[in-house]
Amino acid sequence: MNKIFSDPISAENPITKQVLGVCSALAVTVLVDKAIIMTFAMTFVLTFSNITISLLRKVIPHSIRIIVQLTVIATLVILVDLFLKAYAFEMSKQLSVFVALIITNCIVMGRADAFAMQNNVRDSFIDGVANGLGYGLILILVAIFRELFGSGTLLGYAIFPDAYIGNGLMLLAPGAFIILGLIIWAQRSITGYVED
Amino acid sequence: MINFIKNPFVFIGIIALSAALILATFSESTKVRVKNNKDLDRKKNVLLARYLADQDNPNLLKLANENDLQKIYETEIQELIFSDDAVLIEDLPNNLTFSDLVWKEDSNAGSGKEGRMIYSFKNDDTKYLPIFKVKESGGFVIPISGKGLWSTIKGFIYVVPNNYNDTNEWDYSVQGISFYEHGETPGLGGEIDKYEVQARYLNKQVSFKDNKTPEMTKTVSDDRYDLEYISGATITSDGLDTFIAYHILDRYKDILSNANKTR
Repeated sequence: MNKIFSDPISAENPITKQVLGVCSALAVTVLVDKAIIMTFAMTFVLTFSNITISLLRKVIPHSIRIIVQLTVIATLVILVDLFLKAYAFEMSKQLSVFVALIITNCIVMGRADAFAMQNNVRDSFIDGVANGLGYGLILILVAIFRELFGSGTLLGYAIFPDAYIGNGLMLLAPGAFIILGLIIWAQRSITGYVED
Repeated sequence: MINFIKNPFVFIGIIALSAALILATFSESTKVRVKNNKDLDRKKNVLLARYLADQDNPNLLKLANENDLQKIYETEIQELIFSDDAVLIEDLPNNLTFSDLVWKEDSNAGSGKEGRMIYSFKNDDTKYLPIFKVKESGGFVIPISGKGLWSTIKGFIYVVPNNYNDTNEWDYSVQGISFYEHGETPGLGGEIDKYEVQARYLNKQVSFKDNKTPEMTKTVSDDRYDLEYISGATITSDGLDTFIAYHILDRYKDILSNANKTR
């Protein structure tokens, strides 16, 4: 059980090991608060899609399992989107399409098909939470670098003196690519993981 | 029974139906809240346009609080609705209110004019011209919307009358602008959210006599109308020029230029 929880956060991280979910890791990491909300949204969707799929795993007809998974995931994503619109309007405006795009995030469907279809509800729940947090960890890490060097702030609070001129590269997608690449490099040099 | 459920068609039917049920219930239960949020957001952006030239105004810091926002809005702004031929409407039909107005694409705009945005009610194509009168200055905040590069941009422009010209029309100067919805590229067209870009509009002129509104250009030749365009976002800049001109010079001209109607 510990391994189910700790693996996705460290060595088996969905972003750094499998390089999944990169689209949103590049898009919503300009500011730390956005990354945090995105982490919550993603963790919610992952956890509940894992639970639902695991509950249904014995009755889902094999031939349509992908369609069923998609329906479940899409429902959860729309729920999160509606929730943000109702209770965190500003944030939902800022995240705009990226919440809806969780549907296409390979991590969610990957975990549903590869894990929840074969495992019991408890393990699937833990796997969902852990993968959500593992994803969020990288997102927030990238966002810390981008907000700090791009805008000179963290969570909106000024860190660097006013004289600091934000590094525009950090605010654009290439900045995210570079930082994400460095994080993947750092992690793989520690774990010694080599792609076959 | 289990075999019946395991039929792929039956199974996906059940899943789809339950999903639809859950979503419809949740959507219905948050509807009022979402509408209220949108309404507050609109009010906030009207005020943001109104205060753009006045960044030190203490009211700006209070806008985050819902109650303060409502109070400031009520003291500052008077909501007016005109019909498409610029007649002030006192009573809206069917108990509709100001906040029921929505932006729509004009389906009768004709070729070459696609993407023109108009305000009307959801189930009705009658065009309306809502306008926000700023009590203190006698100026107006006008809703503007139109196409950028990727998306339909929605916002407000705040104009204040500055002189009554020899053709008996009021001319205006821009005193603020704000955008509350768009999907332009962050860092490029998305810069329209930034104060640095919005401030370029300040003190630019609107002249009905010369048929001119502020225009983003690569070289500023006429300081009254020209402002620097957003670098890397030519199409967004051109879009702004087009729809600001359309709304002010075309849709709202009669209301703005005619002194008797608004004063």
